Amino acid sequence: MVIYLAPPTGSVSLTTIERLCMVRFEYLKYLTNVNSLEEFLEATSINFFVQNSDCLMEHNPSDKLSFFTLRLLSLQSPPLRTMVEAAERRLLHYRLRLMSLAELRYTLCRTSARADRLRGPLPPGDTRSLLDSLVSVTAAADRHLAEHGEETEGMAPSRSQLETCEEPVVRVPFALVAPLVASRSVTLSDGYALLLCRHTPAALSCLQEAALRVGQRQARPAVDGRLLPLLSRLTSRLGVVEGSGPAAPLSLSALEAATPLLPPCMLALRAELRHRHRLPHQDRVALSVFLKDVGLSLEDNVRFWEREYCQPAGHGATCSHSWSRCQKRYLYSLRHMYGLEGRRVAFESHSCRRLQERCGQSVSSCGGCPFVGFDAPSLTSLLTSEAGLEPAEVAALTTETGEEPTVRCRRYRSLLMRRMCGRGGAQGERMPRDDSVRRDGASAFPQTDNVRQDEASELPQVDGVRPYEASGLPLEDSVKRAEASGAEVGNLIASSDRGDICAKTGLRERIVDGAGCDSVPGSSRPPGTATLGNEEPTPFRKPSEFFCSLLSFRENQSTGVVIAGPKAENHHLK
Amino acid sequence: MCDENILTDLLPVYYSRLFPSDKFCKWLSYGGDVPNYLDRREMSFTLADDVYIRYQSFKDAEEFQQELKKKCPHKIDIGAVYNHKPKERNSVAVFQPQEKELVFDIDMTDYDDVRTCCSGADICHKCWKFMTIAIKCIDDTLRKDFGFHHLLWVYSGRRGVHCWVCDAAARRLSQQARGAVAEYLQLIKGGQNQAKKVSIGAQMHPMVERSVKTCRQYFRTVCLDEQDIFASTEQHTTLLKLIPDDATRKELATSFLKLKTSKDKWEELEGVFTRNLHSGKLSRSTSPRLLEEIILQYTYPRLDIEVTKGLNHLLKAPFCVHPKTGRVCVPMEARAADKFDPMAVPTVSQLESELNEALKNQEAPPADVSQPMLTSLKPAMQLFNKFLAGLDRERSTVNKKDDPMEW
Repeated sequence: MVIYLAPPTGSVSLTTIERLCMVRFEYLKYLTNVNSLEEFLEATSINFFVQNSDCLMEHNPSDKLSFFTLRLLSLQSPPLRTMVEAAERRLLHYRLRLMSLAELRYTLCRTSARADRLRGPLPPGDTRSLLDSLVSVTAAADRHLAEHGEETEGMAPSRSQLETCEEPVVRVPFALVAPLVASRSVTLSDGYALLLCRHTPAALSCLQEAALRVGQRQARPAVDGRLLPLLSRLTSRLGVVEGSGPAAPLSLSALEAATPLLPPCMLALRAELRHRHRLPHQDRVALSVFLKDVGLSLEDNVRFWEREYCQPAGHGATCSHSWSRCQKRYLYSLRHMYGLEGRRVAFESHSCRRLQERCGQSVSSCGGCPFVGFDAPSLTSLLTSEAGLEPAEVAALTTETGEEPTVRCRRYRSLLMRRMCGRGGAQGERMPRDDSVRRDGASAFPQTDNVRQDEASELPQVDGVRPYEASGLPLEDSVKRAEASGAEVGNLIASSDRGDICAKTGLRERIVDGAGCDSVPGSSRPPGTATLGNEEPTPFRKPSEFFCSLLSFRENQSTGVVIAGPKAENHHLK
Repeated sequence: MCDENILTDLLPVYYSRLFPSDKFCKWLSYGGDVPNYLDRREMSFTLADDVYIRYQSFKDAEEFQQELKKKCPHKIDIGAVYNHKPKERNSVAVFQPQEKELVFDIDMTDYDDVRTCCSGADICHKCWKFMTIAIKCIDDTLRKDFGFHHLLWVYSGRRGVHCWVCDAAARRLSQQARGAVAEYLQLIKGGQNQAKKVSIGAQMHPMVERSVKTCRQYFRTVCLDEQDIFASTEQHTTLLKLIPDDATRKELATSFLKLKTSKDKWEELEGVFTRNLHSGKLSRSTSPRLLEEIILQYTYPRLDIEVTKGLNHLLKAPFCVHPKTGRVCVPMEARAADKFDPMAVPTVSQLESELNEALKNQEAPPADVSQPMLTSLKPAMQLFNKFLAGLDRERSTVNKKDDPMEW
C-alpha cells in the first residue's frame, strides 16, 4: 500500500534495517533533486537503486520497514526530518502519477480498508479525524474512478481526463489538506475543503503528510540505542552541522570594502539602509545575523546599526525608531543574536531557502531573495546601480529562464569571480566553473535548513565500504581499478554509482559514508573556503556562505594561488 | 501622545479597578475544563524602560491580578499554551507550545503607499476605513470558509486591529495549517520591490470574488474620493506600473496627463482597458481581471503572515493600555466596523476621571455592577461578555454531546 498507516511488526536483523534505511535515504536524497517524471524514472537505470529496489517498491515489506524506521529516526534531527518529509511527498506524488487506473483503484481500496480497520477503536481526536478523512477520500475517489470507467465503457480514462476532471468527490477538514488550502486550489465552506476528482493525488499526498505528522507526534521521543549509529551516519551523510561555524573575524572597514561582494539579498538591504537609514524588523534581523555569521564582532555590528539609526529616517521609511530612544532594545537584540542573552544560543543566519519563502509575506519588506521577490525593474536597478553590472550581464540574470533562484544567484557569483579574475578568457584554467547545477538549471541540492552541502566536499575521504558491501554492491571491480590507479579506495568506492548518478543529474557531490570514517590528512578545508581545486566552487546555501566564499576566492587571487580547472578530477579514474 | 509618567501613575489604578482580570483569565482558561490550562499559558510583561519579561504564567485570576498590581506592566502580551508551566520551563526536558489562538495583526503602517491623509503611526477617520474593509473581508472568510465562530476583534490602541480566533479547533491548528489559513487569505504578495502585488488569475476563486465585491463597495469612496490616490503624476505613474500591457500603459500615460482627479483617471483606465480587452488587443501577460487586481491592491487587507503562522509569537492582550496613546485595547464588533471610531476609544486617564466621578456620586456602587461598567469601558465589557457567553455555549454543547447520560 502506498500510504503506510501502521508500522510493521516482526523480527529483522539490525544489519538489514541499516541497509534498507541507507538505501531509502539515498533514494530520498536523490529525489529532492528530481523535478519531473522523466527524472524520476531515470532512477531505474541507476545500478545502486536497481540492486536494492526491494525497499523502494510500493507494497513491499522492505519499503514499509524503511519508511517507518526513517520516519522514527528523522524525529531526532530537524534537517533529516525536513528532507524526509519533502522527499516522501515527492515519492508518493510520482508513484501515484505512474499508476494505471486499476493500480490506483487497488491502492485506494487497500488504503480505505486499512484506515477503516484502524479507526474502529479510536476515540475522537486528530488520529481519528485523519483516518476518517482517509476513508472518505479513498472510498469516494474509488467510487468516482469506477464511474469514470463506466463512462468510458470499460476503457480506462486517460490521465489527462482524470487530471482535469472537475467533478466533486468528497469534503474533508481543511487542516488535512493545508497545501491545497494555501494555494487556494480548493474551495472551502464551513471548515471543509471540497475535493474534486483532479485533486485526488494531491489530497492523498496531503493526507500522507498528515499521517506522517500524526505518527511523529505519537512516536516515542527516544530512539533505541542500537539505531543511533545509523542515525549518526544519516545526519553525517546529509551534511548536517551544528551551527554554521565561526567565520574568520571581519572588521567593519573590511566589510565596507567588500560591499561589492555581498550577495544580492544583502546588497539590497544594505542599499535600502544607506538610502533610508532604517529597515523593517525582519529585514533588520536578516542583515544583523548575516553580519554576525560573516565574522563581524558584536561591537562592530552595534556600530554598524548605530551609524545608520543615529541619522534621521529617510522619506518612505516604515520604521520610526531612533537610536537614542531604542538603543537599549537594539543592543539587547544584537546580544541575543550573538548568544549572550536569553537562551544563550547564537542565532543562525537565514538560509537562501528561508529568504526565498519570505518573499511577499509583508508589503513593507524590502528584503528576501531578489531573484524571487523583486520584479524585473527592481532587480535590474539593484544589479545595475548597486552591483555595477553591465547591461548584458544584467539581462542575462533578469531574463526569465525558469531557473531556480539559487542557480541564478550562483551565476551572479560566478560573474563576480570572473571579474576578480580580470574576466580572464585566456585564463580558462583559472576561471571557476560553477557547475553545481542541474542540466535543466534546477538546484542540485536539497533545500533543507541548517544543511551545508558544501560539507559534502569537505567531508574526509572514507573507506565507506561497509554499508555498500551490505547492500550487495559489487565492489571488486571498483576496488581493483582503484588499486591499479593508486587512488584511495574511499575516493572510488562509489565512483561507478557516483558517476552514474552524476551523469543523470549533473551532481558533483561525492558519495561518502560517515560511518567509521577516518579523516584523511589534508582532505578537509576550513569552513567557508571556496573549494576551487579539482571541484567546482563551493555551493552555498546561505548568503553568508556566498560572501565568505568570495572573500576566500579574492584572497586566493591576491596570493597568487593557482586554481586548477575541474578537468583534473578525471585523472583518478584512469 | 501619552506621557510615560502619567502612565506610571495611572496604571496601578487601572489594574486595581478597571482591568477585568477575572473575565480575562476566564477567557484564557476556556472554562477550566482542561487542568492547568491557564497555568501553562505564557504571558509576557513589558515594564517601564522597555524591560521585557517573558515566560510569565499564572494559576488563576487572583495570582494574575496580584502580579499586575505589583509590576504594573506597560504592555501585556499573550503567547501559547505550553506542555508545561512557562515559569518552570527550565526544569523539563521538552518545552513546546501546544495550543494557541489563531491570530491576525493588521497595521496601518502597511497602507502607507495607498493613503495620502496620514503616514506612519498616524491615523484619521479617512484612512481608518481601510481597517473596516480588512475586518469585513477577514471576518467573512474566517466564518464562511473556515467555519470559525468565536472571533474576538480588538483595537490595538493606536493604528491597527487584531483578530483572535478562539475556536477549539483553531487553537489546536498546527503551524502548517496556520500558515495555510494565512496564505489562503493573503492576496497581496510582494514587498517594496514588487510593484504589482496581486495576481488572481482569469477564474476567480469564490473567496476572491467575495473579497472583490466587498472591496469594490469601498474603492470609489475611500481611494478615489477621500484619498484621491491617483491625483499626482507620481501616484498615477505607480498605478501605470501595474499594467503589463505596453500599449494600454502608454495610451493611459498620455491621457492621464490631461486629467486631474483620481475618479477621472480611474474611469479612463476602466474605459481603455475594457475596450482593449474586448478587442483582443491586450498582451498575454495581462490578466483579464486586471481591474479587480488593482482594486484589491489598493484596498484588500495587508497581513503580517509571520504573526499568524508562528505558534511562539506573542500578541498584545485585549484591555491593555497602549503606552503611546494611552488608549485601551478594546474589543470591537466586526459587524459594526463601519461605526467604530478609534478616536473615541477611552484613554486610561479619561477612564480614571470617569470612575472617580461615578463613585463620587454614589455611596457605594451596586454589587452587581463592576467598576468598568461605570465608565466608557462599558460597551467594550458588554461585547467581551457576549463573546465569553458564546464560548460558554459552545462548551456546554460539546459537553452535552459527550455526556453518556444525554437522552
